[in-house]
Amino acid sequence: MEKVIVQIKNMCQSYGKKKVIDDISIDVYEGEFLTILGPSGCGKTTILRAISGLDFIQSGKIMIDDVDVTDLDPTKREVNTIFQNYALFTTMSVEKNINFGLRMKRVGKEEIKKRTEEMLDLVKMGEFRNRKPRELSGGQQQRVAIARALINRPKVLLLDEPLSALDQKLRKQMQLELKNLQKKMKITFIYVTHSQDEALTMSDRIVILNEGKIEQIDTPHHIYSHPKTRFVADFIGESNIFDGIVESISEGQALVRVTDDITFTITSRGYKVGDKVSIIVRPENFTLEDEENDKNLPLKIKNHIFDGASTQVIGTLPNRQEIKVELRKGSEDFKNRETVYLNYQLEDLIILKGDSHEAV
Amino acid sequence: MKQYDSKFKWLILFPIVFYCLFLIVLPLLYIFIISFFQNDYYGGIIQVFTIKNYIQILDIVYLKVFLQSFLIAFITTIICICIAYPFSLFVSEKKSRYKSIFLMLVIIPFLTNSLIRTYGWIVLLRKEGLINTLLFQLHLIDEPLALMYNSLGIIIGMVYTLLPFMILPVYSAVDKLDRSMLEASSDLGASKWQRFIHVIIPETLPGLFNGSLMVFIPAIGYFFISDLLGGGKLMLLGNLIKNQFLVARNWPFGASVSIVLIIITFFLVKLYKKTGGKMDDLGGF
Amino acid sequence: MKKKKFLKNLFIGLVLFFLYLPILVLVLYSFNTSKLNILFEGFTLKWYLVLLENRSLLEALGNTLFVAVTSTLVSTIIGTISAIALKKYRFFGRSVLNELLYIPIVIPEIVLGIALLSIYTFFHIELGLHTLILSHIAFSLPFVVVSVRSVLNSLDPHLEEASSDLGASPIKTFFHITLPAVMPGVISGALLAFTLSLDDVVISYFTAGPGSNTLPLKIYSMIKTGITPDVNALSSLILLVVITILTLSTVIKIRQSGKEKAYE
Repeated sequence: MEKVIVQIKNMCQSYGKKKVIDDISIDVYEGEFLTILGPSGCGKTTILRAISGLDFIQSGKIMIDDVDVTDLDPTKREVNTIFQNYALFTTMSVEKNINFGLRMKRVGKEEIKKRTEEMLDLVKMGEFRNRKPRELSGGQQQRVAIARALINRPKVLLLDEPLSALDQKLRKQMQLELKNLQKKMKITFIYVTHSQDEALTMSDRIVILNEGKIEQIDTPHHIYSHPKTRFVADFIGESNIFDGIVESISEGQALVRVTDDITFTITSRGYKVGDKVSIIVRPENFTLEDEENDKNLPLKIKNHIFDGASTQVIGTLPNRQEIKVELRKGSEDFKNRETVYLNYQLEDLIILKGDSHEAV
Repeated sequence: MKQYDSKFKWLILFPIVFYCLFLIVLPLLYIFIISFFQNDYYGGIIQVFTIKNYIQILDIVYLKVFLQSFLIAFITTIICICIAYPFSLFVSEKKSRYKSIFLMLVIIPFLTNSLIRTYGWIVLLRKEGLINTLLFQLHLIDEPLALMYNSLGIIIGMVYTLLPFMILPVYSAVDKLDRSMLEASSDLGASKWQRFIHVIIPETLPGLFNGSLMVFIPAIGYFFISDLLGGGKLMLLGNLIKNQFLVARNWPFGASVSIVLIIITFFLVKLYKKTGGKMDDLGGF
Repeated sequence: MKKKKFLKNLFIGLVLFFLYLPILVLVLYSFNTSKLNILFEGFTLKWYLVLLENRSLLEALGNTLFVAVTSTLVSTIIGTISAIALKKYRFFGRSVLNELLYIPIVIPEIVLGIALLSIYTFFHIELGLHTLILSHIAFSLPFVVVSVRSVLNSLDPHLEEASSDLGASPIKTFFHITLPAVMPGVISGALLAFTLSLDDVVISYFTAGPGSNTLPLKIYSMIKTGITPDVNALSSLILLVVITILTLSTVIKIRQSGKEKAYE
């Protein structure tokens, strides 16, 4: 697990004047499922294309399995790509698509046959072997694309938003399939997506990318519970964010004033009076109370949204800030009330230090 | 209402039906019929059934004309393909603004008169022409090269006149190619050449066949190019038909050669359709 | 990488050079003082003046334009109406009619030429401008139909229904909805018909009569006896007109697509 299979060192890339990738370094470990997650235009596909060799990088270095491939053609790199629209060869049958790579490398006939069968079995496409891509469903095309890449036994498989063309239900199913396949084949996956849902479900680690810079690299769990930056907190999951100033400190606790009416009590980690901090509360970490006390905050309820497993309560604070609260249990208790009171546990608060936007 | 509709419909359709009958069906049917008649010595037609016109085609003299004609047309087509593919691939990599400029530059020359352009080639290619004079002045040759009044001249003229008919369909097929499909083939280890043979050619086959059809068929019939640049030394099917109708005045024989040509054309069109080509793509640009 | 790009551009350049070489030569010689198109002796504009006095050449030009304009007009009107009718109506023989229309597009021009000549002879129609026009309609009409049809096929099939649903009569629907929508196809079909007619040698060769010489035919006979530089001058002028029109239309197109992009 600890062997580095792909190493990106100080990669920079710009198109014209625009810097798309700004000095990025990533180590990818052998056998892991690494997801590069970010909003569209953040440069995630650029990184993928740099690893595959479809684009050459302007500065920096790329190593695959300890070999410097920075100036190597895509044909000579032991990685393969699953393209966003699959890019299947429309004139070739499923079988011919799958063994394309082997035919190009002039592998022996017997070998080609054996490995093609293996792949057809793996993705369960044996009965469709003679079909043309346009005669297949989206999910089937996806499987052919995977088999076509895996047959070459790449050291790393690169996937560029492979599920974006599928409908919601199929996407869920393919997420599982991909994850199982990766476990079974023990191949390193580098997966690019803008969907946090996919990233959180499948990945061992996630790289969060924003405007060509890395915001955080961590496990899905850590990224959710300990976002390092305001961007990550906002991008992964839902957040209620409060900006305030430390007003006083006593007994290891700090009082943070957000507005005249709103204050938070947080655990002090060496703050000074006058420090700017941002307090982030996940919707499920708020609790609702009937009675006012000196800690909780009054919330004027605007809406209840029931989605089966949980209920979202949307309301406003006295400063008109909109707040989202997610309740696991039914919200019947609060249904007819106009005002409820928000409470929170100290340890559930995520605190980012003011201007730096860095977590503390 | 129904009655009125039906009358209106046929009124609208009348011109096209009339056109098809009198300018397509009847002329071709007439050619077909006289190809089975005999000719007399004064250029007339005797209405007596015979198949001798078709047997006459099997004469070695005329078989040679067929062979020469197809060979010239075939070579022309191959050369056009060899120019059109790289040209289309290179142009399709350009920015879209440059693409349309390059395409316009391809179309402009063939909006001017083809005979005038052929004459331009005569000025260039003949013995005392520009190319020979230039080469002579540069002391590269002692004697003028025979660049025309032979099959070389014909092929240059044919390629020149028909090249845009190849470039346009091939370009439009190449430009529509999915970029990521090309990237996928490199990603899977195909060299540039393998990519061209295994991916680009099969994916653009309808365009290639379209272009080949639009080059090969006219190349059989363009008698004026072999007249002017071939100096009448090499007889092509176009010249043969022209001579039978206007010089030898043996219409039935000329008609039978035309019928054979039509049959060959239909065969080629069938082939084109079989590869997935659409009829509406032919000749449109 | 740089070298590869250079070689690619070189190839594009060479192909374009090949396409323009004979044209450049003709333009060059139209300014040559010598009457023979062999050596360039000096610059002159006199051939452009000589051209104005070459009556048979100008007459051929006039014939060419007359035939082209007339046949294009007829082909475009009949072709457009027919394309719409063929799409709209179901009737006996429709598919046969559709197939027949491809014949003039695919068969060698020479075959159509001799076939038309034969049928004119059969009906004792004397050759002249009228047979020339008829023949040019014969080969250009299907191109108009195909061009209009390709636009028709890309139209929203409910367009006409929506129009009649909103109370427009069939005639009004045709002029206000269908015709404007297929206009791009009509224009490109007409342009194609016009250029095909201007340039036609093969079919005109068989179907023109005495007194209906067109420019291509005139030049064809002149090449055999020797071309005078005033023909070069005429060609240069034609080229100038063509390039001006095309440049204008391309500039307009680029401007329009620029505007469309600005809206996105």
